[in-house]
Amino acid sequence: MSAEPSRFADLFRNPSIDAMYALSPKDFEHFIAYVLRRAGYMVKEVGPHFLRGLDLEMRLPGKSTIFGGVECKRFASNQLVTAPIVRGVRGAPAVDRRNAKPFVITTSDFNEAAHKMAQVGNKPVYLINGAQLVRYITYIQGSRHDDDDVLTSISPEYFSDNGLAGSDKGHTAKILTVANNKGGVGKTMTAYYLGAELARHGKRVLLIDLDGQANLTERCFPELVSQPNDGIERFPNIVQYFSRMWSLQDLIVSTKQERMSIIPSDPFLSLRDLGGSGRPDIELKFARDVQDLGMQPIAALGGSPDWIIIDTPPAMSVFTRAGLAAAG
Amino acid sequence: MLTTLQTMDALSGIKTTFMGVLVTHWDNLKLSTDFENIDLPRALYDFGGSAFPSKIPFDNRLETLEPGADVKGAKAYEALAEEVLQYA
Repeated sequence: MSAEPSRFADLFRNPSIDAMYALSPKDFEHFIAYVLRRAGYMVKEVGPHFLRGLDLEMRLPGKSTIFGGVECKRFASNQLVTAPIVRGVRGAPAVDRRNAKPFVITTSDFNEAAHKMAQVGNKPVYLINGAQLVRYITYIQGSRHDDDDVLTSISPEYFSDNGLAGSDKGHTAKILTVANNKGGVGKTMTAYYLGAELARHGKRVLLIDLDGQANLTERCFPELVSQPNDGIERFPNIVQYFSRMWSLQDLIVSTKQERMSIIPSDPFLSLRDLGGSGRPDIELKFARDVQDLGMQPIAALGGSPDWIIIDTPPAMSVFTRAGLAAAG
Repeated sequence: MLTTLQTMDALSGIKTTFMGVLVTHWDNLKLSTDFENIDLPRALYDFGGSAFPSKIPFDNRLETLEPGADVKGAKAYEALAEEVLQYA
């Protein structure tokens, strides 16, 4: 397979909305094709003169049918993609086929009418804004070999008919994330009691406390409540994972409930959430690590977990997004 | 949040399922019944998904009791676990 232009390699490694917007519209299409090839697709740059409304066709390796059609829109941040553009993609012949997915990818964002248009009918149009695109590129970086022969290095068997590069085949544990922006609604009690009831049904359950308030941890270990908050001295916890000091596997602690263990939290976790928008590197690494954990035998549980239940903080923080990314 | 999950699912191949909305702190007062009959259906219509049939009543004994205790809150979570197992 021929090498892609090296000028895209740096942008792929360090993606940003501004840098993608700095490309010409045509180069943005080339870059999206480059990204999708890195993800494992076969991509054909067809142009709108051949395929009304679409710039790219995507196929899975070894498949002749079109998996998806992509319309690329390199727009300024104040220029939103509108409903007529989405409608045009929906009507493109290439995505009329039953299983072909239509995508619109932009450096900007979509207006409300575009979102509504995307949901009209039986087949949604998948809308990917600039921030989601950066997130996706980061995801691919962690999933793919970083070379130009990526397609030849991946067996076609890696792909299912409907899934694509990066899918978590072989994943065994069911991962359930309890989330709500509001505090005090019962997230922690739900995580704890649901976990305990599943354990009482004979399931092996691993709880993960992603809330810096550490209420789930304290619910499992009430004796901690009466102790002064001496943070990470209590026992190894999720803070050490996000500090890249420990693996998740090393942090698992048995609870009094048979067949239920926990990766505890600590108030120091709150200090590691710097706020702001997405941290896809952290979120997606956590998701992959949790999914890997679901396939591993855990000594404290006597086998691989059947359920992983994640408690999240009352905000759309990096830890909530990480928990949602891990759920599946 | 749900739109973002749907889009990322399509691109990444990771299938994330929105299991549903769980009603907690439930009681029979007007605020709860209005939520169940008016606000919740509207939210589900706008954002998709469904609600778990089990509702968790307000029961502050859950803060301290062990799972399996004979109180209404713990019983509700037992029912929820049955639902989740059937769902899975």
